[in-house]
Amino acid sequence: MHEPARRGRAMDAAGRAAPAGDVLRYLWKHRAAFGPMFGGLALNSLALGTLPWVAPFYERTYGWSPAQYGIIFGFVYLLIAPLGLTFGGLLAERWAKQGRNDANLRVVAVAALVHMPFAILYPLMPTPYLALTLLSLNTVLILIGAGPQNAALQVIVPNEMRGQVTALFLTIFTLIGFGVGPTVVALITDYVFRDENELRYSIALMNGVLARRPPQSCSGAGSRPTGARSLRREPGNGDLIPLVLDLSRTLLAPRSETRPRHMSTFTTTAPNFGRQPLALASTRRSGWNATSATARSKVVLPEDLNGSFYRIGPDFQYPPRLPNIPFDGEGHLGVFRFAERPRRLPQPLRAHAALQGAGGRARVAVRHVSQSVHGRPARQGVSRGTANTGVVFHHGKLLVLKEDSPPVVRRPGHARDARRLLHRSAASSRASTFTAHPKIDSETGELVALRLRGAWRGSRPTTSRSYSFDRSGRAARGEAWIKVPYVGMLHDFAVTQTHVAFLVDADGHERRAHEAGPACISRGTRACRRGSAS
Amino acid sequence: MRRGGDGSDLRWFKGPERCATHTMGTFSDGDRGSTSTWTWASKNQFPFFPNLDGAPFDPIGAQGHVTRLSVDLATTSRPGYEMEMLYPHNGVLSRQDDRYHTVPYGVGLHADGSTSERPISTSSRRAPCDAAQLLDAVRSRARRRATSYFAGPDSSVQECCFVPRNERARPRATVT
Repeated sequence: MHEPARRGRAMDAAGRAAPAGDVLRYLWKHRAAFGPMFGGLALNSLALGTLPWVAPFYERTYGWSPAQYGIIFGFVYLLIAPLGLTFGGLLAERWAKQGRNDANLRVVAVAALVHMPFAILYPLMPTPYLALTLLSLNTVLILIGAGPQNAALQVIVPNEMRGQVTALFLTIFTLIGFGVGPTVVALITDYVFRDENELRYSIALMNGVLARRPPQSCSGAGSRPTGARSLRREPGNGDLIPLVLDLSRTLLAPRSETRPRHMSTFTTTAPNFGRQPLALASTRRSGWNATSATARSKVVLPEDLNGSFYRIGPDFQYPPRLPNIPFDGEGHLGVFRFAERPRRLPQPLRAHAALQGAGGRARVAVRHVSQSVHGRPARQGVSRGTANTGVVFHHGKLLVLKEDSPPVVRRPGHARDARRLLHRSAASSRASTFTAHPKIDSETGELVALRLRGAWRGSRPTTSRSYSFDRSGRAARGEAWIKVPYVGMLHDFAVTQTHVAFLVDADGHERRAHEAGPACISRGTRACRRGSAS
Repeated sequence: MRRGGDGSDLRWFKGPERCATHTMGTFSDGDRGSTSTWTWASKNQFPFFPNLDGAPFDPIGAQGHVTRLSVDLATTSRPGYEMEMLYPHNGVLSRQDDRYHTVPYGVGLHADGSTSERPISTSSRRAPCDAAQLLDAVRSRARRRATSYFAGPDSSVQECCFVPRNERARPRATVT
């Protein structure tokens, strides 16, 4: 096959190809066209910086493992990628035939504009499959511009310069897209949202603000750039940046300015569990943000009250993870500090409200102690628990508790990532589960605890383990394994100076218990049993 | 089951169907037996846990009452345990002063749902607990009394706890 004759060659009189210096001078000469084009494409490539974070986003937000995400999205990508690429080429050709001499870059700009809402919204979806749907649409629309983007560069560059200009473009594209982009996402996560589990907001912000600058067009597709016209004068493109900035203000504004907490509830239907009030997903991280308007100011406090009150419970500002029950919500530890003088709260705990009392003053600080990891495979050193049920002070540490997981251990007044401290306590290291209601012996200071689900033997119910820790948190007197007569809810237990008593509520459903789902309660099928011993 | 043992002395005592949530307090009465106080209801107290037979949630049966359970450990001929409802008021999350766990105690608190005039919540399907109720003289049947402290017409009470003003203070000051 003969190579077609090259046309529009840029050789000198001696027939030599254009040296690099000539290429750069050429680009500089037509900087009015190449500058916006390279700059726009480079900024657009920042969107690529979010791609390496998509798998971690699915893991942190929805509990999908990277393998699970890879298999599903890989298959989806195989189906949708040809659609976007083919459609983009056909559209550019069609517009070119209609006489639009900037057809290629116009396709790129339109694709960037249209896919923007999907790029912003997919990380914010409440369910993984909804996110996957929007991510797929986003991908299709991005790929519509991928072919014309390369073609646009080719058709406006002289023949002998195409290789060098393309190399320069790809260098910029790759360095920014895969070098700077992921780093920017990480920095936003660490320094703006300050929580690795809020990666979704970093991706949305990146897609919405930083990476949304469509390439500028030039006139003369198939001919030399003139620099006289650019797409920034085309309708639509000029409206893009203000729109994005408006959105960024919404994302970054304090919750109280955008959606008061007490208004952020809705009712949804949970399969098999009736209607429950659950919370609407917020665009912001933790924070009660009580204000003088919402906090009661008529609190009367005893003048000599001086200390801290720790409160734990599920926080409903995160999206529901159906069919989990409301008690599976994120742990939300708050501390009310009562003192005659307001104290400086340890950083990074932030004071959100000050309650004026008659003789004292209370400050409120709230902070999440755990992010939900429902459905995630267990990882060594990382608790699956939500730490939302009980908080106990023992051996100088706060144990934040949830029955299905070890205690999350915090030193009072410190706000370090609780999970890093998880296994530094004997109470944590000895239990994969731990009661949320341990008892502290009034005489000895001993903490008596209960592991709620031990081993399964075939289809028969569980053994539960009772054990205790002395004042210093070391394991104390012996551990005892008990066999529960039937599957039931062994929620709390009782401890005297000499005995431990358990109360097993009505029958649970063994199959559901096997699946670690919420137990079912039967009615009247079996008697309750209460265990004690002589 | 005796503390510090290996669990081999565990005994189970049968009783009627009940649903218990939290322990208020427990103590041993010599070698004779143990007494514990629970928030205790005749039916499932959790509307989001479905009943096996598909029966709808029963908000009346789910009402919790502070109930004392006593086990006689001195004889093996009594397979059951005694139940005594200490206060007629229904509520949730009963709690004693944490400093007196494992020993006899005299007062408790719970979130009181018995005196609310507000409508039953469509979400939780139970009356809101809008008062903290101090349960006094727990051990004395003759002197028992309950005093409610309302949180206000638009507030609900969560789990209460005792806050001692100092190490030797009587358990009176509360935060809810």
